[in-house]
Amino acid sequence: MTARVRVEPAGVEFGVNPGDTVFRAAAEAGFTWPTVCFGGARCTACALTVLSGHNRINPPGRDEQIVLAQLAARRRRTTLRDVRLACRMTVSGDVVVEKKGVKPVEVDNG
Amino acid sequence: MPAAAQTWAIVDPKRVPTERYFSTELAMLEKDRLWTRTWQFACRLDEIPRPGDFTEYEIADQSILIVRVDDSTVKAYFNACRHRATALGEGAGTFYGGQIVCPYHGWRWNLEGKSTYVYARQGFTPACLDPELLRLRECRVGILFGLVFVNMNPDATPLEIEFAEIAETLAPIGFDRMSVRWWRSIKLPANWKMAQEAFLEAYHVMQAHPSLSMGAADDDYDLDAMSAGFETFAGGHSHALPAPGMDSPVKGMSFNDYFLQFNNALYVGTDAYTTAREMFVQQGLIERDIAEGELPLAFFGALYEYAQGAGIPLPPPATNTAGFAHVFPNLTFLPAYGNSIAYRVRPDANDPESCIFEVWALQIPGTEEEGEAERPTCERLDDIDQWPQIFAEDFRNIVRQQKGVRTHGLDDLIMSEKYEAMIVNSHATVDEYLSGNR
Repeated sequence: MTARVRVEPAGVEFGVNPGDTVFRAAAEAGFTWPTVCFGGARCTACALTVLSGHNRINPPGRDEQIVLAQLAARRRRTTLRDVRLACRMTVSGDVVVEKKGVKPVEVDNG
Repeated sequence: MPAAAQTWAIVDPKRVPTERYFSTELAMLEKDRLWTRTWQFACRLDEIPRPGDFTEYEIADQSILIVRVDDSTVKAYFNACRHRATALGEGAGTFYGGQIVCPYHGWRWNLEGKSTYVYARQGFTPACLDPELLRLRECRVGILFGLVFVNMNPDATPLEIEFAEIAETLAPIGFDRMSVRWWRSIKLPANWKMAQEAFLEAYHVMQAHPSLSMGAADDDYDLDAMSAGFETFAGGHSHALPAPGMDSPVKGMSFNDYFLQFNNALYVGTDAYTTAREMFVQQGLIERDIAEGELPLAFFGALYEYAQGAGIPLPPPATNTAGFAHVFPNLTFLPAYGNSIAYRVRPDANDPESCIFEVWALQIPGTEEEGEAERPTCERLDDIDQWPQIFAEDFRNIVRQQKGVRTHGLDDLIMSEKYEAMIVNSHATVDEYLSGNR
């Protein structure tokens, strides 16, 4: 079943199929999502904050955990509450997240 | 230079110079003239089901990215950043957001291979930013039976023409309906041709696979009962013709018994040619009293009945081929009953005495088995003893052959034009490519 993800502050929404990441779903729905590595779990530019639906988010895998720990360390913290990588996060139901810079694709870059 | 001037060249088709299996010079020529000009199976379409999915195809020293662009388009790109050559993808994965991104300096391309981003472009002269210069370099792509083939030669004969005869022969098998049950690879210390040739003839069955010859010794196992010979095509492709009649090749054994034991042995020995599905169907027949010679017909009747109930879209039995077929240069099929074994062998980089040998167990699935299929992945299994018995028996002989071709006093291998016609045809075609006649 397709879950819905709402992204603040833009207020945009799109569907995410089971097993797909939020980043992939956003791209396929025609949104740009900040990134440098395009889904490689390396650049941290896609990191989002979960606002609601915490119990409908699947736990991070090993590669995401490592990158999240590095991200926290840069901010001199041991963990960052509710922060996840859009390029790795999958969901089991509707969620609301915060990510600045998410917007519809403006120009055809092809 | 004509191939005949070389010591490795085939002069008499019945004699294959041993040098062909270890010559570095020949391997270099194959790299330059064979692998760059032939259509090769690069991946299955189900390995790259969605836009952005990619897999890397490596052949000799070349790396090619096979990329799903959209539902009807697959592209193949030489795997190098146009800036400073960094490989843009490794293994298999997905180019998310429709962008192929270089991990080094962040240059990007869309799935069509067009440059979409150059970081700090003010640092490059305009000529260096020419879109045609930055475009990813492509290989040709052809799709047949749900398989993606690539060809590095921009002037190559189209796939549909190059494969016309063998494709017509294989079309009734239903490869495009099959999915992967398992996929494994092994690195073998042998020339790629040596490894492949173990699967281009059935002459070895009597001695190498006692489980298939049912212990029949020497001429008590009648090779001619298995197949009426071979059909060889221009371009190196070939296949075995159906058996002339329904006689047991094992002296003193009824055809009913032979048929049952043959299927059992291939289930235990390959877990691919026959599977639990056919064993289930067959089990239902064993308790019935079936007249001598009637078992194959009863088996197919029961199999198609079962398939209908389980929603398995089996095509009608192929009547034109006994099964094993070779798609030049390096793909071989051994199909049966809506299943197939597929073999692909590639040289291990530039080493003429090492190769990567892959085996697929394919099967037409039933409707209840459908759903969100995972992208198939290859399991590397370099320990011969871990392979099912029949593969292990073949692999061990390949290793021994490679040891033998190096020995002094053995200048060439002796081929039977009757039983080893597929091998003879394949070698002749290799030479056509190496001498520039193809």
